[in-house]
Amino acid sequence: MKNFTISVFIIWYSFSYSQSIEKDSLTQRRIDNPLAVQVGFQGSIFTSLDDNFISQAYSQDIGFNLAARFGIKEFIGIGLNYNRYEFKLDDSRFFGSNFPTSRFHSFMIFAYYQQPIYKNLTAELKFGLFDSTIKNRGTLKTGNLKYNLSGVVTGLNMVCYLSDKKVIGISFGANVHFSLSETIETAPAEQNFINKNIFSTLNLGIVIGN
Amino acid sequence: MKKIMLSITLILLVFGCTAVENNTVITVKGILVDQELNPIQDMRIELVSSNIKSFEELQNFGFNLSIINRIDVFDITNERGEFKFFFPRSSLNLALFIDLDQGLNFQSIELDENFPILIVEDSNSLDLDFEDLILIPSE
Repeated sequence: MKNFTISVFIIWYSFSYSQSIEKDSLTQRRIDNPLAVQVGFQGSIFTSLDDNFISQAYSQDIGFNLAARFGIKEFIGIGLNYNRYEFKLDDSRFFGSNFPTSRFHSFMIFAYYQQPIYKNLTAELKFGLFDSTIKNRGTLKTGNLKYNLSGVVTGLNMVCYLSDKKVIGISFGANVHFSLSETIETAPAEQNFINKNIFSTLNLGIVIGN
Repeated sequence: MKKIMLSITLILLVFGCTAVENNTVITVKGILVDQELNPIQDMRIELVSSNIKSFEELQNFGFNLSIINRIDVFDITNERGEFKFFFPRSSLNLALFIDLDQGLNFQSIELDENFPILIVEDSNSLDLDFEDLILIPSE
């Protein structure tokens, strides 16, 4: 009986002990969960930073930006980004009335480093690759015309979280895109003018995460 | 089955109509000069698409406005008389056009006939550099 009582006590104790360890570790993990998933919805302004094809041919307008980040909270991770703008031809030397409207969209994949700066303010530095397309919608007679540009991108993003839990924040960021490809076939003298473009996207909106 | 065939036909029809080539930009450029080879500044010159393909056809049919389709691509020559256009490589027949009310025609080298239009005979080439184009007063 004595042995039985001791056995039951040991089993119960070990069971309850392991339960409490498990419980503690779960609680701990929930509070300090370092894994972050964050999405952002932002209004966006497109600006050309040089005097090449995109800046001369099109007038640029506002658009929107969608972003998703996966990584270790306030440290490092990878992200995906999508930008879209409606352009219009702005120079009579380019393409003409056969192409009344143009849509620019750009996908980007980036690695980021985040650093808390002050209370709920976080800064993020990123580097990545982008692939963009300018789709010029043409008349039925000509059909649509697509241009692809790709290259590297770098950017800085600031997030001001609205509470200490850091679930929702206001985000402001700037990305600079360096188009390095030679995907657009053109006269040798115009290769750099047509293909090498530098442009920036300024994004302002909200981010939501865990 | 009929619907599938109809869809395929429609798709082929739509793609068959596509005249431009993706991811290509041709450049058309040159310098407008007078008979003394002085550059002509502030001259409006247009890129148009044309129903005719060659200078011979132009000679046979003569020029009238119905042979060109305005595509709203134009430039104003700078102080060196230079102009430049950017257009996708396409199956359109392209031509350069000087508006009639500017009172000038392209000088023809071979013949006395002069026209306000210059047919671009290799209009799908990536780099069309006409260098000096002599303009003379139209009659």
